[in-house]
Formats: sequence, structure tokens, C-alpha cells
Amino acid sequence: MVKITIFFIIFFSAILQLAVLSNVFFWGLGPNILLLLIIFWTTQAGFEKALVKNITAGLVLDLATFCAVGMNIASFALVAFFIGFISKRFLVIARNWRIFVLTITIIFSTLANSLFLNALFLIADYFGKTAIGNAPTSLFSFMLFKEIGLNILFFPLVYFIMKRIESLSFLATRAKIN
Amino acid sequence: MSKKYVTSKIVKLVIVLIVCAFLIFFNPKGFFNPIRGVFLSISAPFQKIFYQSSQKIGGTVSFLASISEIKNDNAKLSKENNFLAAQVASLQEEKNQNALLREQLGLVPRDKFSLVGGFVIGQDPQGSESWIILDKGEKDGISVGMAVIVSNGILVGKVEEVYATSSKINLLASSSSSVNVSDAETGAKGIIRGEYGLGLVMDMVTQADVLNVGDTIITSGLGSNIPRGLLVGKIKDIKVSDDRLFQRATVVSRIKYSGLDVVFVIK
Repeated sequence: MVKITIFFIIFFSAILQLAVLSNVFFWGLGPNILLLLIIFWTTQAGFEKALVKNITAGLVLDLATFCAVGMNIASFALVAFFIGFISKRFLVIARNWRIFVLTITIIFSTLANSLFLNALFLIADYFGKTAIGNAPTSLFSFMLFKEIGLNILFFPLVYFIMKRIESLSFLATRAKIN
Repeated sequence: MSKKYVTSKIVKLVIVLIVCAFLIFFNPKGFFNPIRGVFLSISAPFQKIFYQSSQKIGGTVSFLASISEIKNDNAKLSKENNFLAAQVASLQEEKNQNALLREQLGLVPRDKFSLVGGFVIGQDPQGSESWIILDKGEKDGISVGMAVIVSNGILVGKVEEVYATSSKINLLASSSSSVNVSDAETGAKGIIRGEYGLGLVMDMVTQADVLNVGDTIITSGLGSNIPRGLLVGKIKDIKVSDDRLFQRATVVSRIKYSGLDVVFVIK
């Protein structure tokens, strides 16, 4: 039941990104909801426990955005690895600075995701693999900074919704056991 | 000592990256096409509902953001309207001559296009205006390479991928798009390319050809399924390429790609 819920969350987040958020914001760019989910899951459970969810999110995004399957999976896996590293060291030690550390994590994750996607795209393009999808947002584009701003704005919303869903799932599991 | 660095986390990460590299470099899209087709079939109805609802919200947000410009635009448009009304009368004669010329030059008259209309149900989430998803696919007779237009003659892109009930349209503003075009006034030939969502560039125009600011750019019909005579845009400025062999012109389209809701595919 929990796994199905998570899959639906990923599925509808992808639809939100493609069909809603880029329309609502007049820049034509919305927050990267799936990336925010990766950040949430990895900071809560760690890299290994969140790996399957991150891979699923990457796969769904690859399918939905016509990228070669593997591009977003690899990018999310790399981003999650570094988030796991940061969160293990800083989110535990600096409890009073949690919000600041999370903001830095979001900025770093958005930049890293764009960097990894651009690198993968350039490498694939160099080897003549043209059927890999459209080029991601350029690292030197102002759109990237807008995406960072939107991600920071939306993360609290994603955080609270996911926390609520998790507590409901926990209660349902406890009720089932009882 | 070296084992300390090879943790299970790193092993799992490396395995994931190797599998992804294999998927990307050895089988970019072929194997997963049926899976992508199923995914799009399931998501298309949801995308359609959400996209159309969000268009209205997006319109409201854009309106609120542009209130200050509306008064100035209104005054400017009233003046322009009066001028255009006077022009309409004199253009009637030119319209008749135009129909005759099109017949003689073999241009495809717009009324004779076989069009399949469809709703846009998704777009590039990165805001680069590279592609859109249409709710029509193989079952509706769509195939790769077909031209996509709006408003009965303005080209917006080409069909790049087709699935059972949806298709991906590569917009002119995409960096991977290229269409053969010509200057409607001077006949100069070139290629229109997208510039990472920033606009259109008409490239590979020889130095001997003439380009003027304000000229209309249309499709030339050379080397592809795209018929001749579809409007692309107007020239905004002209430069010489870095190697000084060709001219390059920035072309402005009348269409805002992020605001598309209904498009037509020319069969």
C-alpha cells in the first residue's frame, strides 16, 4: 500500500511538472517537484533506503520528458548520494541551523542536477547518441537561478505534505498490525 | 585499509551509474518506447485536464503581472487599429493578385491542407520552449516529420515522436530544430534554427542574397515534409556569421510557444 502510494505521488508529481506548474508561472518554468521529493526522501531516510524511490522518480521523469531512459535516473542517483553525504554530517550536528542547511542543500541539488544532466547530454552527444532527448537547461542560463528560487519556495510545501502522508501511512500500518 | 572506502553505498551508486550508462549509450529509446507509449496513454487524460485548467490560472497570473502595461498597450493599439482599417481597403486588390500568384508559383494554398487538430497536454518543464505534447498520435494518422501549425498557416514545429494516442512536437525554438526557409520579399534561402528557447535564427544565408529588417520569412518546402509558404516570422536584425561566409538574421515569431493550447498537424 505504501509503495503504491509512493508510485502515485511520483506519477502525479511528474504530471504536475509537465502540465501545470510550467503553465501557471509566467516564466514557463516551474519548480522541480521530483527533485524536491528526492531531497526529502534522502534527508529523511538516507541514500540507500531512498535509492529505489529515487530510481523510480528518475525513470518516470525520463519517460515523461522523452529523455533517454537513464539520464534522470543517473542524475538523481548522483544528487541523492551527495545529499546523503551532506545531510548525515550537517543536518544532525547543526540542529538550530536546519533551515539554512536545507536551503543550501536545495541550491546545491538543483545546480548539481543541472550539471550532471548537462554533462551526460554532452558526453552522449559527443559519441553521436542524438536520440537522447532535448538539451537540459544550460548552466549559464538565468532560468537555472529561477528554478533554484522556485525550488526553495516550494520545498516547505512538499516537506509538509510528505510528512503528513508519511504519518497517515504510519497510522494505517499500525492499525493494520493491531 | 582500502576496503573502508568501498562502502555498500558507493557500490550501489556505481552499479546504478553503470546500468544507466548502458541504457543511455547502447539503447537510447528503442527498448523503452513501448513502455513510454503505455505511460503516455495512461497519463494523457490526466495531463489534458490539468494542462487546460492550468492555462486559465496561468492566464490570470500573466494578466495580473501585466496590468501596468495594459493602459499603454491600449492607447498604442487604438492608434494602430485606425491605421490598419485604412489599409484593409487597399489590400483587397493585393489579395486577389496574391491568389493568382500562388497558383502560378505552385505554392500549396492553405485551404487545401488536410489538418488534424489537437490539444496541447504538456510542455517542456524546464521552460526552454523546446517541445510540447499533443493529444493525437498514430491512431489519428500522425507520423514523424509532419508540420505543425497554428492560426491556419503559422509554423510552430514538426512532429518528432509518435505514440498510439499522443505525439511529441519539436518546436521551432528548440536547439535541435532546423527548417528550410526563404525570405518572402527577396527569395533569399536559409535555415531556421532555435536558440535554446531564446528565439529563432535564420542561418546559412549567402552573402549574395538580400535580407532586410522586417522581411517575412516563410518555409521554402525544400528537403522535408513541410509545405512551402507557411509563415515563420519576421526579421528583427541581421548579422554576418563569425566566419564571414554567411549572413544570420534573428527572426521573431508572432507565436508565444509557452501559451499554445490548440495546434494543427498537416497530414
